Amino acid sequence: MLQMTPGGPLAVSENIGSGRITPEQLEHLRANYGLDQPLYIRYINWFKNFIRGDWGTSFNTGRPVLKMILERLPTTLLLTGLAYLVMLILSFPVGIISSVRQYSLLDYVLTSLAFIGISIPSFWFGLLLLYFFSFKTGWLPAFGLTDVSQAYTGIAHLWDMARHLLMPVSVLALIDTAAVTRYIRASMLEIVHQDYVRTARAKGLSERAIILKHVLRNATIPIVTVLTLRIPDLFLGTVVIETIFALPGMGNLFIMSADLRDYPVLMGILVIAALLVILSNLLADVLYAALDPRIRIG
Amino acid sequence: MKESRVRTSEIPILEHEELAKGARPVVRSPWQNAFRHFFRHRLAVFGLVVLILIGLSVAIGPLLIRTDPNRIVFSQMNKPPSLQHPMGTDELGRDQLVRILYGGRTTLMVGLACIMVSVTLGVTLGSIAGYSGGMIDNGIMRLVDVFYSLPSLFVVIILMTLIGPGFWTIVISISILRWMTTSRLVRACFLSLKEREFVTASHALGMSNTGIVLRHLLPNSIGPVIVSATLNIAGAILTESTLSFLGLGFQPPQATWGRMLLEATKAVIQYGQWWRVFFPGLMLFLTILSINFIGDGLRDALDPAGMTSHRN
Repeated sequence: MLQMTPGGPLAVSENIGSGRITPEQLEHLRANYGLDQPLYIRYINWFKNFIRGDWGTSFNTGRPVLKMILERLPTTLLLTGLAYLVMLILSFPVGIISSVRQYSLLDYVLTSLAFIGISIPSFWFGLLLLYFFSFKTGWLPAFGLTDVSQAYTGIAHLWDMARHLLMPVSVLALIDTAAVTRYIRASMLEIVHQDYVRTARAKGLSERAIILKHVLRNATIPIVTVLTLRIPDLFLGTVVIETIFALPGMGNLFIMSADLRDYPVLMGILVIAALLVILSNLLADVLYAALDPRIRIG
Repeated sequence: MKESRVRTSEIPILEHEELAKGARPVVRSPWQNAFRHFFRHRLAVFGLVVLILIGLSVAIGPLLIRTDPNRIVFSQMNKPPSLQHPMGTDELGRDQLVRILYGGRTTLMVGLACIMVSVTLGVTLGSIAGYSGGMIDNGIMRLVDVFYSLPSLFVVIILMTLIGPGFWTIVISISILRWMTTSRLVRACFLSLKEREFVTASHALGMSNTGIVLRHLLPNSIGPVIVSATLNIAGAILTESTLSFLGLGFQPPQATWGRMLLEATKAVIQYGQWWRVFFPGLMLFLTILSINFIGDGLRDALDPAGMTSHRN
């Protein structure tokens, strides 16, 4: 499917070099990249090589795709991993507080914030942060993962990286927190009105024990599914974040390759993303069955 | 007695004197009820007002301010907001306000076109699956699963590089990844509706299948569809802006809010021209926020069963 581009993957070079590249040279290039073969043969070849770990070579850099992706993977993993962690730490307390104090002023404020969070475009949020914290105050660096002009080591290196990652992680995490908080609040509220919660109250348990042991534990089951399904969303979100903050991750690589029509690289990243979606769906199902004894995978 | 047809919760409490005077309880249609519910939702009304204001200004604004959005005035480059240019100018001296108004037209049009395409697709496939059942249902639902498991933003980006950016290519690429929720909802509604007595009665009276679907099933499942369609507009607008922001959507000199933000990136980070980023983003944010508020209000009003509460 990827190869059906109008003008073929060499369109970019054809455009740039119009007049400079002869038809014979073009034919030679086509044969070199195997682009003169029919589509299905190209797909079968690609798939065979893919299984063997040869993901092809980039049209742009001429380097192996797998290597290019592996170089970029740590940054993306770090970014999504930290954002996920921050999201988990923030969304549970917020969701619990706003369900326990339903319709209070605090709940109203938190719910409104969550609405703002799911509506704010991440790139706008990112650019505003950049304006305030980089341009206005100069507190945080605007782009990159590390300061390349300084060769930091040890603690200084970590500190430098943390300063670079603070804004991207916050943007990614806060937007996700907003979405997850609403789920947590909703599923807590569903449980709060159950009979067994009333029984627990009647037994004279402390409010804290009721909320943490009876409500939260039961509310966790649907929440876990949602949390697992957020992973691919978070991964897709890095495309925008890495572009704004110029982080050398996979999302950034994807956009660059899309601009250059570098199909082997696009294919590689797409496969990883698709695998991630499938795996997290599977994980959600397995966790659901593990947490809820009523459900058996059959 | 007319009252017997009204659910108890809907019977207005009347004072004895009023009853004695012959006052009759008001009977409202489901639509009137939904209407009242919606207007009691304060945030939804706020969203509706803001959205109408934005819609009116992008529709009428360009007719009032007759400036070409792409007019380049070198003497007016990079000017902060002033009386002459309420939202400032960009690096080519183009007026930001005019560009925002024109950009809003494009962005909102994409949003509307997207839901038209995706709702049509979703409703058609959902009704076929729900009404026919069996193999066809199974096939369509597996198709839904496949589309759900696609990493949507990546696929849209790749489609963009394949077919090239243009109004309809953008609309179609976004829509074909957004019809699944609608079709699941329609199917679910159909499955429960088609077992009801009135459908059996219609069958017995010799009504055609198409007639039953169009006259009975679809009108009765419209609520969740409207809710999910509304929330989908917000998603579609966000996706279009993201594409434009990444430089893969609408191409220059076409102004869209996402595109304006892309062009403003350097200006804000290096030169601190905050107005370049603040205004287009604010418009985008307010639009999406008000659509989400409206969607929430509509959910309260039209979907009491909460079918649309997840995956939106």
